[in-house]
Amino acid sequence: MLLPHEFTLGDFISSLTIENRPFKIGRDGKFQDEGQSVLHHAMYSQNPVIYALMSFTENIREGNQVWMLFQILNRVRANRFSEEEQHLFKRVISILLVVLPFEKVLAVFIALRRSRANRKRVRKTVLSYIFNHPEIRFLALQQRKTIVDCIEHAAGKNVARACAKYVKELDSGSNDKTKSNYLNRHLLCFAENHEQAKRVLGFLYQKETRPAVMPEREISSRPDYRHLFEPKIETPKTVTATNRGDIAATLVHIYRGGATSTLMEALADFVADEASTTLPFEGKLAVILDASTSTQGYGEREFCIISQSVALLQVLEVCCQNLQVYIAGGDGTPPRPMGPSDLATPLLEALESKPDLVVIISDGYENSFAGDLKDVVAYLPQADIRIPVVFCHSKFTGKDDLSLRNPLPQKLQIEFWHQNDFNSILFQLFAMAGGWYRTDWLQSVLTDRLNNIEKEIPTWMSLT
Amino acid sequence: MDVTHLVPETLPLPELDLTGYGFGQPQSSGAMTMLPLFSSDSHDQFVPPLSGLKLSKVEGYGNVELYNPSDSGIAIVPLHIGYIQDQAQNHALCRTAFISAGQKLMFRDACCVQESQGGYLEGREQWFFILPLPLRENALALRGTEGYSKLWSDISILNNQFGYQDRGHLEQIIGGQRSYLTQYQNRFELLPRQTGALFFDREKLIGVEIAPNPDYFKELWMGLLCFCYGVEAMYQERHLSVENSAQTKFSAASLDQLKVQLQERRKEKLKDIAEMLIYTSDENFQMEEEERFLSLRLYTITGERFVGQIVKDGERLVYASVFAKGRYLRKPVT
Repeated sequence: MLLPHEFTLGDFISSLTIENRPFKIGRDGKFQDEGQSVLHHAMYSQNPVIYALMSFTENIREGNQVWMLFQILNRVRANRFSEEEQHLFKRVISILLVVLPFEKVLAVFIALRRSRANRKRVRKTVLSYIFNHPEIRFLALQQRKTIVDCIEHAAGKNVARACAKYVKELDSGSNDKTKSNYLNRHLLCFAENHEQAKRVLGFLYQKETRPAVMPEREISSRPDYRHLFEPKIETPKTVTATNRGDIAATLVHIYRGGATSTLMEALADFVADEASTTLPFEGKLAVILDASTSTQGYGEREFCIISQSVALLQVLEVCCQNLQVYIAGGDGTPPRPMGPSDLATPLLEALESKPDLVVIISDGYENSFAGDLKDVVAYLPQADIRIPVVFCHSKFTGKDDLSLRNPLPQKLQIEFWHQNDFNSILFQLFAMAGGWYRTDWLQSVLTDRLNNIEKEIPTWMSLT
Repeated sequence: MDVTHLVPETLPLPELDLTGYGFGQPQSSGAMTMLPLFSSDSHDQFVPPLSGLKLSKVEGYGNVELYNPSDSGIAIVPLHIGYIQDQAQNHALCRTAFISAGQKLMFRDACCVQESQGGYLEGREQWFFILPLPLRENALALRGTEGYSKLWSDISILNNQFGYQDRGHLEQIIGGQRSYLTQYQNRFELLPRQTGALFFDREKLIGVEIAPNPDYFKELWMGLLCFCYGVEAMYQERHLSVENSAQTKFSAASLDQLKVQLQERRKEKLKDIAEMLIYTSDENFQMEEEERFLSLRLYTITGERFVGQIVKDGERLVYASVFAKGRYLRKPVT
C-alpha cells in the first residue's frame, strides 16, 4: 500500500471509491486503523475545502464519508477560513450528518470526545444533530448511554446534567425563569422543537430502568441516501460489441467497414452529448492511445477494445481543448489497430511537452519492449519529473482479467469498459491534472454535486 | 517499419538459411519471446491455409481429405494442422504436403485427437489449430503410420501434466482452456507484412515458423500461436515459475539521456536474442526428402534438439515449421 505522502489526488479519489475501512477509535483516543487515519489527516492538510467537497465524489464508499466527517469536525477552525469557506464546511457537514447512519455519526461524536475536540462548532453540531434528528425518540431508546456521553461532551457534563434536572423540575410545575433561560441558552437553542427536546433529555436522564418515554413509532426502514452518490446507469446483463455505449457501438460499425456519413455524423453527436455532461477543462493533457494490433481483438469482440479507447479519447478531446494525442501503432482515422505496442517512446515524447497529466489508454498488452513503460515511469522521480502518469485500462467487460495485462502494476489504474464509466474517469483525470492546488475545475464540479445533493435530502439538519 | 537494422548477425540454424529475412523487435510475455520475421521475397503463388485450404471430408476415423479450391495457387498444408467441429471427432495431421489448385488429397495417416467424441468432420464451419508443441515431435514421427488412435497416449500424457483425466482427448486442453488460449493471441502482436516468427522459452529457441507470404502467416497465426505455443506457455505459467530476467535500470539525468538509454537497452535486448541464437546455431540436421512439386521440395529435418519440416524452392526457403524436441523443450538451458 502507498504511504500517505505518496498518494496523489488521483490515488486518493480511487481510494475513496474502493476502500471502505471501518471507523473505530479506542478509549485511548487511538484509531484501530491508523493508516486510514493518517491518510485522511494528510489529505485534509493538502486542501481542506477540496477535501471536504470530495465527500461527494461519485461512488464514494460510506466508510470514507465517516472518516471525512471526523476530519472536518475535528480540524476546521473558524478563524482560518473565509466566511464563504466556513459556510461551505457547514453545508458539507449538514449533508454528511443526514446521509450517514445514526450509529456511524455517533461513532464520530465519540471519537471527537476521545480526541478532546470541543469547540463551538462541535457543540453546535452534536446538539443540533441529536435534538433535531427525526428518529431521535426511537434512537434514544437504543443508544441511550452513548447519546448521553455525546451530549455531556458537547455541552459539558455539569451543564447537561443541570439541564436534565431543570427539565424535570419545570415538568413538575416549577416556573423558575432562571432555570428556563439556562435551559434555553445551553440546550434548547439548538433544537427546532423545544418540547420534544425536553422530553428526550428527560428520557435520557431518567433513573428508571423501564423507559418512561416510548418511541412514537418503530422505524420500519431507515432512509437510505446511498443512491445520491452512485451514478444512475444501466449495465447490460450480456455484454455485446454494441451495448457498451453509443459511441463505442458506432465506432465498432465504422471499424467493421461501415464508415458512412450517417455513422460519422452520429458519432460526432454521441461524443458531443457525452462531453456535455462534463465541465470543460482548461488544463493541458497528453494522451497516449495504444492502437497496436492486440487492441483489435477477435471474434465477437473484434474492434471492441479499440472502439472504447477511441470513444474515451474523443470525449476527452472535446472536454479539453489543450490536448495532444500520441498514438502507439495504428493507422488512419480513427486509428485502425496495427503494429507493436511501444508505450514508452510516446510517453517520453509526451513528457517533453510538459503537460499537467499523461493519460495512457491501452488494453494493457505491452507486447513489444515489455517492462520499458514501467521502468521509464519509475525513473521519472529521479529526474524530478513530477507529471502524473495514469494508466487507463480499456476492457471488454467489467470482469476482464487484467493479471497478464498490467504494465504499470505499482501505479494508479483506471479501468473502463462502458461509456457509463466516462463521467467518473473524466472527473478523476481532470482532478489529477489540476492537483491539490489548481482546483477551480474540481471545486466547480463538486459544488454542483453538493447543490444537487442538497436538493435531494430533508432539511432537518442545518448548521447554516 | 524499418527492420533491416534489427537483423542479428547470427542465423538460428544452419540448414534454415534466413538470408533475405529481416527481424522485428522481440515481443515477450511470461516465459515466451517471439521474434517476428519478415521476408523480402513474396511467394504469392501459395494459398493461405484458412481461405485457401478446405477440409473436404473424413472417410472413416483417421482418414482426412483436404481440398485446394483455388484456380491456380498451391497449398502447403501447415504442419500438424487440426480441425475442430462440434458433434464430430477432431482430427489432426502428422505431416505437411503439397496440394495443387483444384486437387483433393486424402491423408490416411491422420490422427484423431478426441477420444471421447464420435462423429465425422464435415466440410462446414472450418476452424483449425496447430497441435500443441509437446505433441509435435511424436506426431511427426507417426507420419505415414495409419491408425486413428496413434496419438492418444501422447495426448493422455499431456492431459496428465495439466492435471486432467489422462485420456486421448485433446479437447480438455484446447476446448477447456479456450478462453486462456484464445486470449493468448493478444499477448503477441502480429505485425504488418510479417511472414514468420522465432519462438523462445526464456533464452532457449523452441520454434522456427516461416510462411511463404504474409497472408499465409496471418491466417496461420492464431492456430499456431494460441494452440501450439500457447499450450506450452500455459504449462510453463501454471506449473513452473516464470521470472523474466531483470533489465538494466535507467540512470539518466534528463529526458534526452533517458531516450538514449532506452534505445541502448533495446539494442542490448536484441544482442541477448542474438546470443540465444548462437546457443542453438550448432545443430546438425539430417534432411530427408518427403515430396516434390515441380521445383519445390518438402523435407523432414531432424537434429539432436530440433525436428520439423521445411519446403525449399531451389536454395530458397519457402516454408518451415521446426520445433524443439520434447526432451529439449523442458530441459533447462545450461
